Amino acid sequence: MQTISIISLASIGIAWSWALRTGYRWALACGVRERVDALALGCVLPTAGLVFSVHVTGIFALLSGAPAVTPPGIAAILLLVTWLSNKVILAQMPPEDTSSNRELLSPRVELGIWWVPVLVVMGMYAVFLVDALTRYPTGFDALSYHLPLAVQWTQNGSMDLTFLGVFHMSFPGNGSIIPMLLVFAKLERLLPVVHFPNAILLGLVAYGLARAIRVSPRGAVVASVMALTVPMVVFQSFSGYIDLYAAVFSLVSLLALVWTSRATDPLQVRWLIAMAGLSAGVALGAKLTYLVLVVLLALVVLSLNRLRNRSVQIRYRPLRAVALFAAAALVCSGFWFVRNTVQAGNPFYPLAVKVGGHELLPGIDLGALLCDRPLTSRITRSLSYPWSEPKAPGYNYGVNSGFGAAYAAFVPVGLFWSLGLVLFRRPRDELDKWRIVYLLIVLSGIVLLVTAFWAIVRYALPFVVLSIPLATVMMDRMIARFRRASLILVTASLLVTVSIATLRPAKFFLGRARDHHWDRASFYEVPRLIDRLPPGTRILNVASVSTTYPLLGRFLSNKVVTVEDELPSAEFLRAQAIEYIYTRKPWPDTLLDGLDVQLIYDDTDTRLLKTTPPTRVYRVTSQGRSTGAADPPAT
Amino acid sequence: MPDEPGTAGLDKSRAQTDDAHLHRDWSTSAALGLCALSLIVYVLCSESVDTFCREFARLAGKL
Repeated sequence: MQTISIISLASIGIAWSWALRTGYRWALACGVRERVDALALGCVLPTAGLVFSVHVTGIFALLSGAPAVTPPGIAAILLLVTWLSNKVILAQMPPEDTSSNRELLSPRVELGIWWVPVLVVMGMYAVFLVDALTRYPTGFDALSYHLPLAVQWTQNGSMDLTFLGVFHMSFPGNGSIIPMLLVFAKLERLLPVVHFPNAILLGLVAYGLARAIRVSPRGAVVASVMALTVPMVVFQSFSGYIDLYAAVFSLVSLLALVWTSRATDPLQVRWLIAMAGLSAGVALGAKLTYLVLVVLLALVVLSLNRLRNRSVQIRYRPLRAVALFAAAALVCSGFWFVRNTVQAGNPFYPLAVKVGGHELLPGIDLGALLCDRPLTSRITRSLSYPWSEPKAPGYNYGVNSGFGAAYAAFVPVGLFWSLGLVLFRRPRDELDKWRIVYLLIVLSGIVLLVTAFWAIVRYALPFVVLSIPLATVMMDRMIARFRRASLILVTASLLVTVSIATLRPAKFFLGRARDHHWDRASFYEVPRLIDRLPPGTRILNVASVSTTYPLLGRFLSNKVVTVEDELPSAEFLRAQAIEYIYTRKPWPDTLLDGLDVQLIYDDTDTRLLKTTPPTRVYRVTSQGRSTGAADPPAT
Repeated sequence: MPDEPGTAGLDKSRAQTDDAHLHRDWSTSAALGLCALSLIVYVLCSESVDTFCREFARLAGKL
């Protein structure tokens, strides 16, 4: 790695830490007086600053055609953004408001015997952490497009659409930005834990959201622990999926809005709405499905006057507040819509935009691809999901499945409890009103799950997590009334979830230790020659889409073109200067017609793991750089 | 907005009212019972538990 890149990446780290400190002081200045909430909201500024800096380099690359997405460019803009925000934010606030020594209202949490469930969860994360730090990135979507996208940006120096490979690579990619920095820094071994900090942030947000609706500190800790044991959260913390990243920042946005309703100064209100918008934009720029949640949050902004503390005499124009929220959201997501409009003529590309059955803007009808169940089936499946957790094939807990035993035991009952409170008790203050807001958002999530989200549960992750603080209103009462019984029930349910969840990483870790599969090629079961190809070697992948990332090689320097359904023509291969073809059984024989290729690797009879399909690698000899060059040893 | 550390928006009179209400609260007992029942239903009906038991038995058999 060049010295300039090392200095730039170190500068990004320093600027990020500086922005985190500024963000924390910004939250304090906005009147956030719970330390946990200030920490969670403090993460918005560095994350939004980093996302915005990368987007600026992306815009420059898009307009100029130059490879501008580089560590020096990102570092320069992030330092500038941090310096400016530090100057602007802190200059507008009185010094006593931004002092980190000011009195906070964070209560001391006396956990006592409630340390037991906390320790159970920490033990589970320790097992996952050991597994993750001794392996390479996993997760079908991550290996198919999230991580290949990050590598592609580093190779091209731009975030332009390439229209090559799977269509998913054209979706917004905020979730691939930090992986991209790790790829720049040659820190592939940290990619499996890249989203672990998001789990910590999720714990803080769940605590803050529970406290915001009058849950005691102990109850809020239970909410935090339960959120962290939702299997989807645990597995996504150690995979390259980006749903957790998006879910966390959408909930941070809601937390900022909660504090907006408590602000005592018009400037604080504006800053908090901007903070909420930036956070929502980070989520929207990571996954298009969050457009729905951003709209729901905008409706909350529209209703803020009704949700305010009656003792505070601040009123503002709702439409102006929504405009500020939307503008801030676009700061962290607008790049993707601009890029897709410029390059594909459709801001939502690769999704088609349809009105009344007519396709207004070209793209893919994702509903037709995903919707394989009738509505009634989706409704019954979704409503029974917490107790049944069906999944076929594969293990039931994973990045896309599992709510866990604690969720099944407490949350549905807790939601009915909150519904009863809303229906039969008049809201006494703004805290009760926020409980209604939470409930309405969760109910919207259930409707969305069975309709727009095609019963894919990870799409509803923020709603799943938000339902936990809502349910702890009941648990808080239960803990106070039946302390020992509640502790036993909570611990037992967590132990059930933790046992099921940890079996997988423990088994995989022990399996790797037994077989000594510590290196990349053994882990991904790809030939070692892939790791030895010269940088920039172009490989056509006609095996599984999830082989895209493994084929990038140990230096992440190969260029991989993956085809999904139709085999490409010989002309396409020549135009793309394909040098190697990677196939797995069943062999795509017609692909090789008209091509001058040489079989250089075939493990049909020699592979050790008979469960893995046989692999063949061909060298294209009629064109490309590899012609005449010696192949790496085929071992 | 929490009024002082630990009270989280509850003023003292309200906290006392809630405490008094707590002791004659049958709904909390019912909720606890339902939660316990939910956990039992989960253990009996969840495919996750079923898969875990089969995989655990398979691993134990190998050992």
